[in-house]
Amino acid sequence: MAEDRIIDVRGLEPPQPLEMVLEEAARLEPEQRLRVIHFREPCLLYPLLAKRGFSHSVAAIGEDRFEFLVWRKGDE
Amino acid sequence: MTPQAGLSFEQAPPILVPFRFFLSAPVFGVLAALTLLWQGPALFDSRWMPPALALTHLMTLGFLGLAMLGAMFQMLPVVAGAPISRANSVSLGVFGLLVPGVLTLASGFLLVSPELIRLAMGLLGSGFTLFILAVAVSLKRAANNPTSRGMRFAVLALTVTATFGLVLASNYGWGWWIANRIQITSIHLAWGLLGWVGVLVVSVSYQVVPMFQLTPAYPKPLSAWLPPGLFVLLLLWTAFTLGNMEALVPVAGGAIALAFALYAGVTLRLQTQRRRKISDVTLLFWRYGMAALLLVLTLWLAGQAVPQLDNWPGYPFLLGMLFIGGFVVSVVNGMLYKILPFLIWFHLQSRLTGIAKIPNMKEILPEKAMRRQMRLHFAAVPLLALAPLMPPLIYPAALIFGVSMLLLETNLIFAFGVYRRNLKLVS
Repeated sequence: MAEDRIIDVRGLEPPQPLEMVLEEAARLEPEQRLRVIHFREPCLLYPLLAKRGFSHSVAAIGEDRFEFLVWRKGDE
Repeated sequence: MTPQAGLSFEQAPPILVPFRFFLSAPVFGVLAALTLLWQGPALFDSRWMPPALALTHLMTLGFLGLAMLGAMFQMLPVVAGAPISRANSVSLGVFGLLVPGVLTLASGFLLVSPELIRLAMGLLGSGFTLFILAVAVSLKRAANNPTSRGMRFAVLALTVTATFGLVLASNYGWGWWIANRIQITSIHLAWGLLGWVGVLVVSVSYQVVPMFQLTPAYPKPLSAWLPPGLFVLLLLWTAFTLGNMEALVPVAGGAIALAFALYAGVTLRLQTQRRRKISDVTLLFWRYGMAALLLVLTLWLAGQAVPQLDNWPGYPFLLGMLFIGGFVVSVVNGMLYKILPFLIWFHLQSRLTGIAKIPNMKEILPEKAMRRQMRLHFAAVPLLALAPLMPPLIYPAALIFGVSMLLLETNLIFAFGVYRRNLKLVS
């Protein structure tokens, strides 16, 4: 499995975090995952990811920090 | 790895659910400005005169009520994970009852018509009942976070406000007078402005300030305790007021004022710690709103200490102009400028990907247009606040405020036009 690609979108103004995740997800290699560091759960991003054929799961929740993983459906 | 369900497109409300409220709200601001121009300085004769009541309700029920209801329809699924079931039908029903309700109520006051007031009571009573029931069902299964907990208190406060409002309106509708009308009015006003509007602004800001202004999160003790604390203080204040415990009423009132001052101070401090250093229209609207809130709290405290100020007939107008126009309208106006373009971007993103380029936020709502409207609003508020002292100022104040609201409306319509034009590309 390819190494996770990691992005931190905490300093970005909406909708840039969503745009960046969608762009980076589209560049994922087969079986590669995207690990996103956000400061809150981006509920509105999930349907956009699902529509493009991606799955996601919560990876870690900390103080002012929310991490989740994104991968292509079928790669799990 | 187990995929998380998240929010589906079926759960995310259709764009018109919040937009029918957002796009209609500024029209009531324009109507409020026209009422000011029509009535002129005579409006300041007494806060109890029907034109003053018409003006207040055009702003609170019309402008603020619609904007806040629209925001709740949008935020419940996104922030609390609890969409309102049948959001489109419910929002259409609430909208269809409240808009004619506010118009009928304001007309009833302005034309001194008991028939119109009775009609307004039916429309507003059923509109708010529908909204409160739908939101209560949704909030029951909401995620447990400070925003959704705060929203519960805000909706309870709305229920108290609407109930006392209907009792007071029945006075005008049937011409009977309850003995303690002044007390009941104070309770209606306090629960409406401090409970419903104040607690909702506080609760929503926990999400929107860090998200859109890139500040650190609100301190956890403050975000957890402020909404329930304000609610309990309002209950105590109400009990003291109804029990005629005159020594204790200002104590509870002072505690409420200090709680709001703490909130304003923390918000201003968080804004100095933003990750993005460039200022924008929303940030300026919020800073202006917080400054107006601190000013109105100071003036209220001064009124408690100086009886001559409290007895001056212009005093409630001064407080009202600063609280409603200076504080709440500013923060709502500022948020509309973030939420509308963001939602348009989101809905276009979900429909247009792979078909056309999605316009960015600045293309959806140009900065220049927002700044022009913001300057007018910033000029209107001090004039409105000074008008009770210098009544002829009411004319330039109302004119500038009206043009500001008109520009807000045209800016929002422009943004919605971008959405519609882009959507045509799909078909």
